[in-house]
Amino acid sequence: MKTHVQQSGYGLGSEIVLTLVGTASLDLDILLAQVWQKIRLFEERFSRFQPTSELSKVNQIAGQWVEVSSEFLEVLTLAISFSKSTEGRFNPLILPALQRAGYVGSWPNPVQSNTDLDYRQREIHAIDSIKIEGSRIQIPEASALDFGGCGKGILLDQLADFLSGKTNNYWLSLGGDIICCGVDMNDQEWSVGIARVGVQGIIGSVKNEGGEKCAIATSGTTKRRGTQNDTEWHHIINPVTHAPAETVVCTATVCAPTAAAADVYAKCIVISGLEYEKEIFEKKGITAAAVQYDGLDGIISVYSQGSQIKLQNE
Amino acid sequence: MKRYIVTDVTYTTPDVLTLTMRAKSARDVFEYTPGQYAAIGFRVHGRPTPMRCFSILSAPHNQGVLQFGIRIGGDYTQRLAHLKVGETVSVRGPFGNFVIDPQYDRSVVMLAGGIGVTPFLSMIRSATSRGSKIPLTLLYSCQNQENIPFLGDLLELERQNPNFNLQIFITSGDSTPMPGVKISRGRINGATLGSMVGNRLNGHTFFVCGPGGFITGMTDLLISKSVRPECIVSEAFSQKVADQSLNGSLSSTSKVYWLSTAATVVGITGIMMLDLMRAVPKIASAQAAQVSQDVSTAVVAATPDPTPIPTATPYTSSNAVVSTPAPTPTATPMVYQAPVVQTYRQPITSVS
Repeated sequence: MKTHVQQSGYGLGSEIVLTLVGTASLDLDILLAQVWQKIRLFEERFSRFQPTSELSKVNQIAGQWVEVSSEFLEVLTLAISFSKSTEGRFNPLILPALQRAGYVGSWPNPVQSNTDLDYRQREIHAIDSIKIEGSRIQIPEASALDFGGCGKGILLDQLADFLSGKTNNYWLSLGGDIICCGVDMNDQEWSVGIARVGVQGIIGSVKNEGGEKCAIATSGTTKRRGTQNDTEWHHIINPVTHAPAETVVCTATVCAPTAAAADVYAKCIVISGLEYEKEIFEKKGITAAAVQYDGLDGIISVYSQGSQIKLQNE
Repeated sequence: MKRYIVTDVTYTTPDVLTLTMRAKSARDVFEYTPGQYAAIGFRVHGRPTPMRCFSILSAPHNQGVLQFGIRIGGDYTQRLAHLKVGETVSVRGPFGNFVIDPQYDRSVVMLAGGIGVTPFLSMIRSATSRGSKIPLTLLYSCQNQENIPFLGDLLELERQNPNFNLQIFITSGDSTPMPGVKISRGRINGATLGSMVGNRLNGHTFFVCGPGGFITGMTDLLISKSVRPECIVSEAFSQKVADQSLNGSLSSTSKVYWLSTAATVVGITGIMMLDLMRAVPKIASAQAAQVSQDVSTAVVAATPDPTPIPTATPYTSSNAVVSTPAPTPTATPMVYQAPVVQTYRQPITSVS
């Protein structure tokens, strides 16, 4: 007899929903409490909005060598790897530009700034400028690091690793980035809806075929946006122009073996468009991708291995 | 009695612990108003401990989550500090009327001594989450700059809430400038009060929480500045068993709220009665004569009856000694909303 426990909450600047499925003999409540604790610890370490986080400490002494935790090093190494594999489309040193655009404070108060955490006067540097020696790192002077959604994806992957062997049936959502595995309460594969832009409802869905672990992330310009000096901004920064990406891609949804990859590549599609969607599907191990365009109702481009993505009208 | 599961036990400073718990089920969700306190108990070697009262640190918008800020001192709190994630804690309450009434309290000045800041954090968190326009000023007195409980949280709240203003006072040792922190050396006095709040003090409601000496001192100060007694709301408490025992009479220097709900609970359960009796504060009073019409004096009987029981918010004595090594202090945890969802939600990916 399967049972489930589901909780929602707020963290990492977004809504969190956690669902575990198991048997009555498994204490899902305790497992879930441990997941919440891991989320909290991750936020304490990697939040750019907390002055006491390890990330903030690294940023506050940018230019100096600093000893970092193994957890920090792991995330930084992954972020550098993604930056290289996306030819710089993802750059964890883009934070000063993001803040100059208008996203300074913690959502939902992006304009409220803490002077210690305000890096608007700093510069954008290429990923190769980050130096690592053992457990010591150095980011360029007058730069600032932020893992953004990539960090959220890495956390999802870590949570999945934690749950592995304890329960294989779950879905976890950190602000719309989802990782799912196994089956639901009715022994069915999970069906993850893809939100339709602009109105309530879904436009398609993603299956974790065969109960395999599946990571899905959606990036886009429809949220985390605002107006500064009469100019509209959103949070997807083009690393070439150092400004919010000028794009007709409204949202990009990507399925990948890891949540970090899904988040990073979804963001890159928003920046680079449909050609890049095709490229990553063919060359980067992405299992499915779908794009919605601004002003057009529906998915206008979809790539999918098998029938992983199923559109609503099919 | 509600049942909660421990989700986190974190030292905010070397001797102040943040205990975070989540409701075991939807039926166990505990409803309270910011500023109230609750009695908690747990099991040691399978046997239930007495229930003790502590201020609630969390805010009600984090439905299903309860957080307490506790200074670790005596046996009870040291046992509490050894609670493990996943253990069950019993919770009774809420108690107390140390709460902001938005209808009457149009501008709030909070005077906190040490861990007495706890109920104020709940109030500020709640006001911030609701977008409340009520101006909140917190004058926070601490012994030294190295260990300021919940400083990170307060700075974050000040950043998020344009109506919240924080000033820290370091009463002993040096105070060194900290970027983004308004900090000064010395005690809260008339001059600092005037500089923070302005010279017209009667437009504000003053909430005072801390050790007995702090309460008395602040009340003296406010009275000397011609603040009307009805605009002073104070609570004093100690986690120490000796201070939670009933010594007969109680008097207060300021407005005292009566706890009719607690009295009802007391009438129902004799055990809870004893716990509440222990929870009655022993408040030193030097000002009773000066605020005669607002001073309430009560003798609390040890039998259940409708006699109102004064509110009491837990307060840890500032000189508590930690006899066991404390874990390395970590940043104050963020509070997560973790209610049990009533209706199952399907997964949907969207722009995060």
